[in-house]
Amino acid sequence: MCTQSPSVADAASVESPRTLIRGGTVMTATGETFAPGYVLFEDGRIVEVGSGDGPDDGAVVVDATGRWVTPGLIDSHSHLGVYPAPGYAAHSDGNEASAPLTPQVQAVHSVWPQDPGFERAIAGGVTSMLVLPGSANIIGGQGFTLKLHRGVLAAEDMRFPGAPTTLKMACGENPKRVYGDSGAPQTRMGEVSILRQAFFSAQEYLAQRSEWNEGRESWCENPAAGEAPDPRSVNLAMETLADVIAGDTLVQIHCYRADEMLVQMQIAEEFGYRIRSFHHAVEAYKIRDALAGSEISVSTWADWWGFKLEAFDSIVEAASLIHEAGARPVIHSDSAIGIQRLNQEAAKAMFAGQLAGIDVDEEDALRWITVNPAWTLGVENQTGALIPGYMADVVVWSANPFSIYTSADLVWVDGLLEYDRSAPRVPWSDFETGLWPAAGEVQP
Amino acid sequence: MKNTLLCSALLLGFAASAYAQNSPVCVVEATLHPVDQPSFVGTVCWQGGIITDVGTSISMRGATLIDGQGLVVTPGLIAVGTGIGVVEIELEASTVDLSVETTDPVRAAFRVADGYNPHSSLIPIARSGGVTSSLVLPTGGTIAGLGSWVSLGEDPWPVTESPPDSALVFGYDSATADAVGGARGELMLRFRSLFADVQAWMANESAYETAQMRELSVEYVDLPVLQRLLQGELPAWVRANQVSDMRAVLRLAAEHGFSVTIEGGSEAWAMADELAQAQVSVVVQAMDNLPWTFEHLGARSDNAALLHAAGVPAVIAVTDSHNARTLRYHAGNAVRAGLPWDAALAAITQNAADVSGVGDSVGTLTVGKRADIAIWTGDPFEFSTALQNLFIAGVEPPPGDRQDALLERYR
Repeated sequence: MCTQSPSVADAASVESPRTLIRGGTVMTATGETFAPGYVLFEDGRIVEVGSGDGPDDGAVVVDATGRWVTPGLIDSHSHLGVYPAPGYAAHSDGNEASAPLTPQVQAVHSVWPQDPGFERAIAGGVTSMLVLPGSANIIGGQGFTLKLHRGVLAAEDMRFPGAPTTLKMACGENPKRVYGDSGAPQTRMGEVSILRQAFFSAQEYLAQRSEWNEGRESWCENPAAGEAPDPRSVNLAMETLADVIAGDTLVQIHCYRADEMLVQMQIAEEFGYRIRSFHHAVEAYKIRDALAGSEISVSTWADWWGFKLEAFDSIVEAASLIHEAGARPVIHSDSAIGIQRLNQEAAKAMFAGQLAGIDVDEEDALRWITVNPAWTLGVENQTGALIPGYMADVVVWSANPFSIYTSADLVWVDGLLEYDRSAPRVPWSDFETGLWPAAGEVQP
Repeated sequence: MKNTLLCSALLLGFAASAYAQNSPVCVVEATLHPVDQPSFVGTVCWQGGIITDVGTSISMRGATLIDGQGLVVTPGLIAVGTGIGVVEIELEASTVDLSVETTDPVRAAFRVADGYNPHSSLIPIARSGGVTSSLVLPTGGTIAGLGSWVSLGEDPWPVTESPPDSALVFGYDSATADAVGGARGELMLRFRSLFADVQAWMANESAYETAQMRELSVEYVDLPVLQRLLQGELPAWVRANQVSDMRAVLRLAAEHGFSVTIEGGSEAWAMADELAQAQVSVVVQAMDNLPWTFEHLGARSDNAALLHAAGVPAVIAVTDSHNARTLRYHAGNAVRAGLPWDAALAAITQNAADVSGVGDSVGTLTVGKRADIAIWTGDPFEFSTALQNLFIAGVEPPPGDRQDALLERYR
């Protein structure tokens, strides 16, 4: 009762070969580009980054002449594993739509590590992602921040070491549509009342939990002084929300409309928690100054629009405008197809901004799919940029990553070469094993 | 379409309507991709909405000139298989006119483009990606209805009074089988008995009119449409992805003598030679590379490249009607996966026109064809390239779209 709960292991124990990538244009995502430059990494961590050839003392040398080198891309909004392919009802594990509030569930317990989408994602240069529950619920559950490694049998083995807990919430049309015919919420005001009621309960729960913890601590300091406190009953849903109020959880809110994002910001202020990112957020450009002031990132698409009414006011220049205002745009996918080309989506958003006269360039666009999503996931001190000490999550691209003709050639995750476009394919997923057509002959 | 590069002194006070006049217009010294011949630097002219010259030594007397130096000219792009003009918001059923909720899975006479709204917000946004026309198709049932090629300009169907019947849309996949109880065998049975009924009616129309004929499985309104199919006047457009389904479709078409376009065709690469021999065009998704169902086990992104290599005319489509503007990027991704550049352009112009039944009048820069013309600042497949000007039947549509207006409002 008095021992500390075990802390999450960090990534220090990865063994990976000393590798030197040289000759290419190295975009570090810190604002610095070396052309030509080099990246040296070993045992899962970046050792050196700089201009010129770099030290090849005993390293495996990768010639990237004519090619581009960037950090591994990060998707702040994926449903890989929870809505895997094949997309049958048997695989529909993303929405626990049994009630509009399910903060007790965790995406890690739905993620199917055999989703063929993971292999496609790494072929797009993605090395980390946040897998979120769907948006049927006002509070959908905890997300799962993972890294892409092949040969994984348990989702837990993909866990991004030390990544903070995230919580998926949703406002607007989806919870209304899912529950409106059978109960509540039927309206946006209904959604807000349900959310606020939950956080009032969580406040009480947090107070009781803190009181119990204090009692336990004082008993642990002096067990002879009295009886051990009774074990407290744990409510998983309330634990999650109490952690949000306590500030230990990164809140990720699916929200399209500007007015609804502002309402969510009011609610967060009322209960004293921070919103880390608004997701989809097609109207975020309308309130970009407020988002910059509140340090909330905007996870959005380049150009999706119109599939529902709350997505009607999308503009392709949004990410550039948000960047210009000093906020953090993130190009996310929300799609097993889109995650394969985050670089292309960022390119669309950047060039649209340039055409509109907004001061934005490739360095900025790279940050929308690396540094900014890393921040959104709370792992910005671990990955998302080519900095010594960071995780060796590195991509060699066939050419400039903002050209449509460019593909990821080589992808390292934690210093391990997990994807090589030129190598014969061995499918990651058991599902693609032994079926027609022979998967080894097919490059997806 | 932010800037207009006009070098004619006559048109300093240019307005969008200037090209609407019947005077000749030429784009000079541009990189032309006529599609029906190799690319070259030259001049393309049009007058009265029709292309009048394509070449290197052209008399431009009296023409309004557009300086094409550094610019790239292609035919206007054709987005096949969309709901442009009949869908506003997918999740608001009252704004969606793509299909009919009925227990009868055969809706051959349903012409989806009769619901076409030329003021739809989707149209200017599609044009912003160089899309000048679309093949609008119905959904649902075993026979969804008639699809129509529509122009995204002033006159949606410039020649005919009502939308042209470009193709009769069928399904042959598990979703379609669900409409008849769930089994593919039933699908084959229904199609065969349907065609037999149409033939019985064709053989003895008067008996039908006087109720001297056994009951048919086809509604009265559908009979003449199906007759046109069986007489070779109307092609079939069939949604199928699995090899066995596509083979079933080819068999039905051979039995009944109609021509077919396959849409979807995830596994078409695996039977490319059969498709080439049957002279079937295949409309594919360039980014379709996941085994979403057991019908898509063979999905791969180089599908279009493999089909093209086998001599199958490949068409590249974009499923998202709202983002038909991204058609050029779908073509670019097919190039990334191995499709030759020229073939990728043909896949969203010439081949798309052919499967839309308008190959004689649009889809290439050819004298006598409609002046559906896109002028780009560079390679149209690249993100860094912008659309400079767009002409539909020689007329430049009003510039901008709703999203441009929102940008201006919040800039």
